[in-house]
Amino acid sequence: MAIRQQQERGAPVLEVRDLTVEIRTKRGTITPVDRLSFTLRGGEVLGLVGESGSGKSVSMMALMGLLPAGAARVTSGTAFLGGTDLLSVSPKRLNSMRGGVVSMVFQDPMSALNPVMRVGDQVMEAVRVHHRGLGRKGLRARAVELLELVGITDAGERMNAYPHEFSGGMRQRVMIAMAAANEPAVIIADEPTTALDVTVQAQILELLQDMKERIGSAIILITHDLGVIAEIADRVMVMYAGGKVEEAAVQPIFDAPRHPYTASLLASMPKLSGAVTTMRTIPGAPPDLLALPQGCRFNPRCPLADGRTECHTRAPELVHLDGGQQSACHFPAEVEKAFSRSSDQIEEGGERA
Amino acid sequence: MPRILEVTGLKKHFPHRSRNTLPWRPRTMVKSVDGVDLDLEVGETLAIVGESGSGKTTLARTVLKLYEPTAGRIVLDGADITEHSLRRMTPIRRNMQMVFQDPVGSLNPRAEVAAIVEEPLRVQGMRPAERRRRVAEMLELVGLNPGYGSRYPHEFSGGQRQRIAIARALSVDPKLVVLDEPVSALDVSIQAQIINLLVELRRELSMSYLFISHDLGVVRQIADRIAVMYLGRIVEEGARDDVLLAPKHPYTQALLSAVPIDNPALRGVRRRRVLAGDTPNPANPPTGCPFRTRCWLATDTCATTAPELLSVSPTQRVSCHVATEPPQTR
Ligand SMILES: Nc1ncnc2c1ncn2[C@@H]1O[C@H](COP(=O)(O)OP(=O)(O)OP(=O)(O)O)[C@@H](O)[C@H]1O
Ligand code: SF4
Ligand SMILES: [Mg+2]
Repeated sequence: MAIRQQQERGAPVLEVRDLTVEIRTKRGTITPVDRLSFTLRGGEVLGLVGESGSGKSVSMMALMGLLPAGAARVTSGTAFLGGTDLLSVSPKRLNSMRGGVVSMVFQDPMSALNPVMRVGDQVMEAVRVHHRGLGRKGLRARAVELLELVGITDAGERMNAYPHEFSGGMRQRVMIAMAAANEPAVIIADEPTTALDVTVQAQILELLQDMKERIGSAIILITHDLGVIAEIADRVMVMYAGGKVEEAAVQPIFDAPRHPYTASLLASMPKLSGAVTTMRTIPGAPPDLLALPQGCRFNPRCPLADGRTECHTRAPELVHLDGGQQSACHFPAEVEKAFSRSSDQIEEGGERA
Repeated sequence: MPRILEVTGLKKHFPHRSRNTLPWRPRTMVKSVDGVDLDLEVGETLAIVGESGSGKTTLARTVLKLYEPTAGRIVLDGADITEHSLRRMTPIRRNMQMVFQDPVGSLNPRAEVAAIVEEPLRVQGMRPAERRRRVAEMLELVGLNPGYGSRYPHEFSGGQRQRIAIARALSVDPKLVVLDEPVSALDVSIQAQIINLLVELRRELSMSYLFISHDLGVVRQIADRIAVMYLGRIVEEGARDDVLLAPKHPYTQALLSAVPIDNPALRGVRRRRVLAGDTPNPANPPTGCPFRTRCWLATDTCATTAPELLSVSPTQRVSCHVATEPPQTR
């Protein structure tokens, strides 16, 4: 198992370079993921954050070979997991890797589980795919063990239940059990707690952490919630309109963001501490992927862009700053100043058109 | 302060449809709202918070008489509307409007924005020319181009659609607006825009809000008072800072401690009270205190007697045998 051995903490596990995805829509062809590169390291939780439509899910679906057939295709890039390029292997081989060395957890466990199949059978099936040799007894024992591991009480009995008999939180536990079944090198979790209540979210985040420690998988956690990032991410990538605009370890993302979009997201996060004042907002909305702004894609909403020609003419490249931080902004050094004036006058609210 | 809304002992029970209910078995009831008292002053925002299944939406819809109450009394602006028929509700509707969570599902996709916004005005019998003027005024008020009136909902983003829904609700100058998770479906940057807009409009138009949300961070931005619901009942109610900074009910404490931290530097610093298990099925709630099955303070009394909502200070009420015990007996 070549992949497992590489999984020492900090060693690259998954290396994605220049991933580009195109989707044909009724109105024209869009590029929801545009030359995305990143490295996932052993034992880490890499948070992937951004607003709706920024390309978080499409990029991960592309890696998993789960893009909608026909309309969507990967037009460039490599994604090496161990010695295998996920983007060029045969669909058959990718199929056999899914649920094996790399697995997924989705936002809505109800649609990922089979409603007419007993929970136990589904977990056993997840195990069986990659342990053909195991007999029924062995499969069952492993499934019960997995369900116990994710905190389902009376796992032996619950094996016979159907998904609808479980609460949302329990269904997500089952999904995590299935994703962990074969101790994958990488788990991709797409908004795993978005549909859950906060008290259940707290349980599930704890469980993900715990599973990561036990089986040593690296996790890519997609979320739009910076609170979830603050809870469990080690490193963070911020996406905007199909591209990565910032990447850094989690603490600098919160304390010293180097892209105005990251800083804006942080400023508009409703918090339970600090003074209650008018909330800072990001004016307008993310761009239409068929009508992207000239220059920097963030310029219509950016507090720094006013009167700066570069922002309107030249698309910023991702630059490497101190401490491994990356930013795709022409003026990364000015972000701090622009956002530290706490009572300042960033455009408020209204969308004028 | 004059009150815009007074609700006492409100209950809404639904017949429970279960797969294995046989016709000759007595039907069980889901007690979605089970004895709620609340009041709302003119110009005030009361937030109702709680997790899924706690009865927030049912409470909102019953208050608006979109559901017939099972028991209790609803007084709007001094008039008891509990027994009002649908017809008698029509003129009253202009005083109580609603904004829903889903800005897509709540707007008719085949109607032009102008027709959507003017609908409540038409119901109230306003003449067309006047309606047109009012629609333009409302669109402007919520930060949309008045020229958008001839477009269709699908041409707008989620945040813009929520602005349209707000324009419609406010078009008739309501005294009370019930907002059911109005920003939950929106991205954070858009969420902040809508919250600011709502705060500003309430100030300008001196309305009252009943603001339903599961998000305590959002609620903090807008509420004067907060009521926490669990299994159809209010377990704690009080001034915003009382509830957020000095919660007395164990459920409120657990709920607050589950909210994600806002900076990774706080990891491991804040004590988290992770609640075991799930909310019980509202068709089969625990005896006594609804929270006792997950409560770390529960005593024998909690299993037998339902606690009442009692004042612990002039601005805070709590429904918990342990939290409301006089200090010397603790
Ligand atoms: N099957 C599809 N057909 C057409 N367009 C699509 C399809 N799937 C995604 N897109 C478009 O690709 C872009 C990126 O979508 P994606 O789902 O990756 O966003 P996301 O960041 O995951 O957003 P969310 O936070 O809403 O989950 C969007 O503009 C979306 O509308
Ligand atoms: S490049 Fe210009 S417009 Fe883009 S984020 Fe930086 S300052 Fe703003
Ligand atoms: Mg997504």
